[in-house]
Amino acid sequence: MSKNTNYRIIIVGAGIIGLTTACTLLKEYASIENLQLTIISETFSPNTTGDISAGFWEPYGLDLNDQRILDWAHYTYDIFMAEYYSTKAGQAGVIQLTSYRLKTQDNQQTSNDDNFLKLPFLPIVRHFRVLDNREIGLFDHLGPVIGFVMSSVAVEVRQYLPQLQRFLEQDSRVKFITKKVCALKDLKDQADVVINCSGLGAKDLVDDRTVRPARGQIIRIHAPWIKSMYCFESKDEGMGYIIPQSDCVVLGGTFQLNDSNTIPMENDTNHIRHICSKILPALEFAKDAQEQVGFRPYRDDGVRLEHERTVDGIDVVHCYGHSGAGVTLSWGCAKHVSEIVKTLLPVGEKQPTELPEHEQLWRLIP
Amino acid sequence: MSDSRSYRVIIIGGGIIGLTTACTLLKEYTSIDKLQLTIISTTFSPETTGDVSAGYWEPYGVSLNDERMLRWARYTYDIFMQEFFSTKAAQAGVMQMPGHILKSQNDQQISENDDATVPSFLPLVRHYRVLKDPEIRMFDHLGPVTGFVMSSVVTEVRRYLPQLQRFLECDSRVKFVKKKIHSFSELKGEADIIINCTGLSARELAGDLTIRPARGQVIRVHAPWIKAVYYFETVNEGVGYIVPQSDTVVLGGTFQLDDWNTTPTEQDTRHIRRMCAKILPALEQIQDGIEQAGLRPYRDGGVRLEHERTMDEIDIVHCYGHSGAGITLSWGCAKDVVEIVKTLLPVYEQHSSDLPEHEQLWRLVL
Repeated sequence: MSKNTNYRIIIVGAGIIGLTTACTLLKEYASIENLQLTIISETFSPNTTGDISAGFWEPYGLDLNDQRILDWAHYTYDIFMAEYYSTKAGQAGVIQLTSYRLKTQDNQQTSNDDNFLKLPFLPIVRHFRVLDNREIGLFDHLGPVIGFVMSSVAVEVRQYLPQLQRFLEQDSRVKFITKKVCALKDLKDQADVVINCSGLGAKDLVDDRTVRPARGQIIRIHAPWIKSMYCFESKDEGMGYIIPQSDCVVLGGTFQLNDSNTIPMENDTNHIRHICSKILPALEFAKDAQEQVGFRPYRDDGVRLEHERTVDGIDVVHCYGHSGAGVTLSWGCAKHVSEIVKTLLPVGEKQPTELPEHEQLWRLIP
Repeated sequence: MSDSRSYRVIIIGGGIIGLTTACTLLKEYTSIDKLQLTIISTTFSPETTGDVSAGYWEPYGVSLNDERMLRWARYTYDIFMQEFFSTKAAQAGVMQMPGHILKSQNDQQISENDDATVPSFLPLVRHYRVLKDPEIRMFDHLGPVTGFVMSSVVTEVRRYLPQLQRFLECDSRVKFVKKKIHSFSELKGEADIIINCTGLSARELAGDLTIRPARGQVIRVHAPWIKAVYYFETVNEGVGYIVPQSDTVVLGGTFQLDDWNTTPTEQDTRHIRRMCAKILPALEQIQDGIEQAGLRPYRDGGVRLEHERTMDEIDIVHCYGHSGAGITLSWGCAKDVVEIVKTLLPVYEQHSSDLPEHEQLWRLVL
């Protein structure tokens, strides 16, 4: 391996996409001592987009006919599942959850019901079943519904990112800088490869007008008796979901495209509480409610993950536009990004190891 | 027109068996104004046997070939499941979650194992499945295992009993007395019927030497990322189980017949922590916890539920000896007890009611 080759990589963005990418790069470039990995971001946890979300794994709001999406989601799911059964789960906030997805029966358009029960990502999960008569009876209070159950996982970004950060900080080849990058050309000559994980920021950073905020309002409440995820799409009243976390339960949600309003709206709160209390009536009594608003980085054509050699001659690998599926696609995208980086900055064969994949990506620092 | 007969019923025992019986009595005797129901107990929540337990519904430690057992367990399960989807769930500590039941296999057993070997109570639950690939792979870290998953419910006795008490206290026909009863003859002349729900104390009170303590030690820990029940039975190392509660997680367990020691032992603590950390490795990181030991009222011939007219001519309905399945069988036994009481103290007027069964039994008092 030539020591003259420079391996200067800058990652713009320190959210779930940026940090999973960083860990993956350290794994792939384990043998490169002179790797310089700089993570530049305007915000770090707990102020990233993902910190507000419930971190629930589900390819939501994406084109599920895109095989790349399914592959990224699959790889990510397997990592999180392995982490749940590892020593990491508690501190990293990885929570395996049974999730119930319910929808008001559509008597007029039964194909809608069929599509609902045959979502393309379902073969990825460890367990999936359509709710039969015995189980669906539990939801009689929602009117005639169909539904399925799947085993999924919620990753609490507010706990996960700090653990990734601690791991990255241990590596002397990694540097963190808190700064807003206004243009990629500002980074020319500072890096051999720039990885753009700027989420919504890509709108300005790379002038991508197809990136738009998809506003989501949620309510965090104290409801520790709830241990599963529930989501209900009603006929006329929209959708609501209930996602347990370590220390609270997240009620949602909304998906308001092009809405940049950061203030929680009473209408949205009422809608969320109304639907969620339908699913679990005891929620009427839930207290300690904290409303929050976040903005998913929606992109018209879906995730942009590709190499670009800019007019300024910078090698950029873009990875943004994950909408509501940042957590869901994170590790899978990170892997794909690092494969592209390896074509630009070659690295020899990896040493074989018996560590499980997730341990190769990052380890808990005590 | 209300019935003008006067009925005096004494329930001895204020635990899960006694209080569910009390509620059922009030339901069946709604029309009897002159019902006097006195609940006499040495202990009330949080000091009853059930308060130490995790409250997981599963006919554990009782003979499953018993038709009565299946019937009682089924009725109770249905009540708890309805309660989870009602306004009661939060305050009453009723929590739906999946239960993973795993069993180590030695090499010989693997070839003998087949799908038919599932416990007979499984058809009672809303859902169960034998664990197969790829789900069973998640438990590879436990060595070769077989297992199944079932949808179950956990009822936190420490929350549930106080709610039943509040409901009962609202009825002017009910009186609570904290006192120890040494023999049934103390109560002669004070009641038309005595219902004996004394659990382990039936040994002295009813002179029943077939009832014996089955000691169980547990540790309550803070592990909020765990949202499901796990029960793991090994070939030579005993059993470990993990049962989430509202605000803690219960780790167990031991089953030590004829052991009266209610003080936690270090040896049992070590065993429990070791077994549970095998199932979910992140538990290694949890050092704190509150240890307790409770005595299940195990009985050689199983649950004793029958009428006895003593030599003193006192009518007693016995209901004790539920071993580790007090919660599991509670409402079902209460129903049968009251059916017997009705043959002794007839009630003619029956309200028909549109309320769901669980609401007829007791309501949340705000």
